Amino acid sequence: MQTDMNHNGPLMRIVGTVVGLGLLCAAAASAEPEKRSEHNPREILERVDKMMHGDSSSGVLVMTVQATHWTRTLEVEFSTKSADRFLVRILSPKKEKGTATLRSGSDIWNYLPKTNRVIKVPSVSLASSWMGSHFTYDDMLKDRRLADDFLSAVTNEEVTESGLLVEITGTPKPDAPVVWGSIQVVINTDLDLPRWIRYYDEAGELVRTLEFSDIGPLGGRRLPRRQRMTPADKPHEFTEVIYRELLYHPDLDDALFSLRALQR
Amino acid sequence: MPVLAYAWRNLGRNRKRTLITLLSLAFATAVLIVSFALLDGLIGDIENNITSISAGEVQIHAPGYLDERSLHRTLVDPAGILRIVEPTAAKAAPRSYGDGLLARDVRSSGCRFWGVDPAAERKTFSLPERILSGDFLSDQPERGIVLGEKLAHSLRAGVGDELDAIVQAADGSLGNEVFILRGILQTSGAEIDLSAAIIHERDFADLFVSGGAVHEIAVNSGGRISADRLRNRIRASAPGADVKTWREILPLFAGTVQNARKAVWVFSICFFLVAGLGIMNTMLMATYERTREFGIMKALGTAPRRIVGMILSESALLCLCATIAGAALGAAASLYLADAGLDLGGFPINMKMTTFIHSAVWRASLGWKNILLPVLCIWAVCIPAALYPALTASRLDPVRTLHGLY
Repeated sequence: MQTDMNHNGPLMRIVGTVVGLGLLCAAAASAEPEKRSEHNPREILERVDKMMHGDSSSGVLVMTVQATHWTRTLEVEFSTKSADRFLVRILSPKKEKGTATLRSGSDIWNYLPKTNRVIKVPSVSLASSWMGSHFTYDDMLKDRRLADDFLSAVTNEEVTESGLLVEITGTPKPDAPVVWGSIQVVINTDLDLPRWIRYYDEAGELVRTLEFSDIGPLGGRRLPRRQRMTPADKPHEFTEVIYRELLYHPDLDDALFSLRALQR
Repeated sequence: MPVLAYAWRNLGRNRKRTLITLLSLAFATAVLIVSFALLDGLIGDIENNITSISAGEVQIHAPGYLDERSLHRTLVDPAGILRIVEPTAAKAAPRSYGDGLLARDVRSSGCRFWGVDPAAERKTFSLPERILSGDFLSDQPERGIVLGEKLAHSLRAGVGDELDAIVQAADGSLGNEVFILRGILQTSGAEIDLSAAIIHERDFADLFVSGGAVHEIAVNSGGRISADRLRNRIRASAPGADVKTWREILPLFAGTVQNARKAVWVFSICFFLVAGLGIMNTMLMATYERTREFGIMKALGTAPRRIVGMILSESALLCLCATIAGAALGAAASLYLADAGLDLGGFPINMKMTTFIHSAVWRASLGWKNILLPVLCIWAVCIPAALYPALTASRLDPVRTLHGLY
């Protein structure tokens, strides 16, 4: 049974990135460094996009949410196919086990096992948090096409011991479905992996920061296995996602991303 | 006293007119007394309902809770506060509140969940008895739920139906549980009717992952201790908490009461005008008829002052008799209405629309103030009203009146 549900955000302001962003980030392209162009920002973003919008994959991650009023750790299994389909299911704690979220195209649904209800997340609630984390449904919904949706320019370069960090500032193209005023993406161009992404609102105020760390083997590739989203107005809060397992599949069945599968 | 004797005799000169005036004044007085008594009765009834149904005389919250009703702003030591109330003549009921969604089939409605201790509620308030169908919650947590009447109706839910509760829990997770509808409440005030979803406090703790946190303690002494005294006593022993009387929590009620009183006064002013004009008319007629007399009296040397006094004393006597009769009539009617009351059951206006609940029978409440006030007001109007004819009479020119040229 479907019900329209209005997700009222938790008491704190929610900012978050896509679990999918994290997932996609994990679904990296080949680790082979490509011929370095003269720091063409669009090319760099394309490489990041390619890494993020990867192949079909599935895996398990652990999400820790630290908020003003609570701390919570979830174990979540996920499956993702192309850029617009994913299914996440909570494995633990026991109280939330079986709760799932499905994204297919531009729709998102939640499944609540205890009441056996499938609830569509209405567009008016997309800015609200996913399960109390700093991730929003909006993050899960939007295709992360940094190269296509943003006008980008290299704004800084820094040589560090882990590699050359290139900072790219992107402003959304007029017709791009982006909620941010601008973003700053810092990429380690030697590893072709993002280091962090900062999100700014229309007034230029920093809203949240997504930090990538713990680069290591994951699914046969070298990827940042830890991501932390921190809201700017509450620096003591964060949501941290750690990837435990990741598997690439050539092609996951579309049926996996259906409402029927959601209600399993 | 000769003044009274004269006044009495003069009033008796036109019995019919005197009687009619007397009756109209008496009636005005009586109507006013009954109106005030009914108003006081209504207000008292509403007050009693507010305190005894579920709000209580005093409520205790964590500081700042009432501003936003945040799930996380809980009382630090609810058990301690319950211990303070325990030895007094008052009873207390602890409650937890959280907002969420109730769904049944395809219907859903926002609601406010109350986590209560059913035994404490039964001891402290009359809400558990105000059941339209089904029962109140049992003392054991069994995932039962009791709904306000309108909420149950909007979900088309009947006793025994399964309802899905979906909430944002205190730990950020999506709380969802299935409840069984145990009972539907009679109309008990708009807020309860539309949004109350009452569950056992342990079921609340499960659903909201609240760890048993308490947001409110409502205290009711059934009138044995005044609300102010109760508040002061609790405040003294629980300095960290926000302790308020129901009047402080519901300032809207005080405003409504004030407006109701003002309305009745406006209505009363009409009656005063009628009374005043009645007296004035009567005295004008009386003095008009006796103009020759006044002329002769003045010719004989009567001071104008004394003529004024004569006429005023006539109207005073009339007023006195009328108000005594009116007070007696009004008091009798009020006492009857205090006992039997007005049955509102047949009224087409759905009283369930009101924010504040009142009983099906409207009873009056008679007090000395209700009797004295209308009487004094009638006096205050009628004496000056008689002044005009009195002064006119006292200023007559004796020569002209004796010649018939008034």
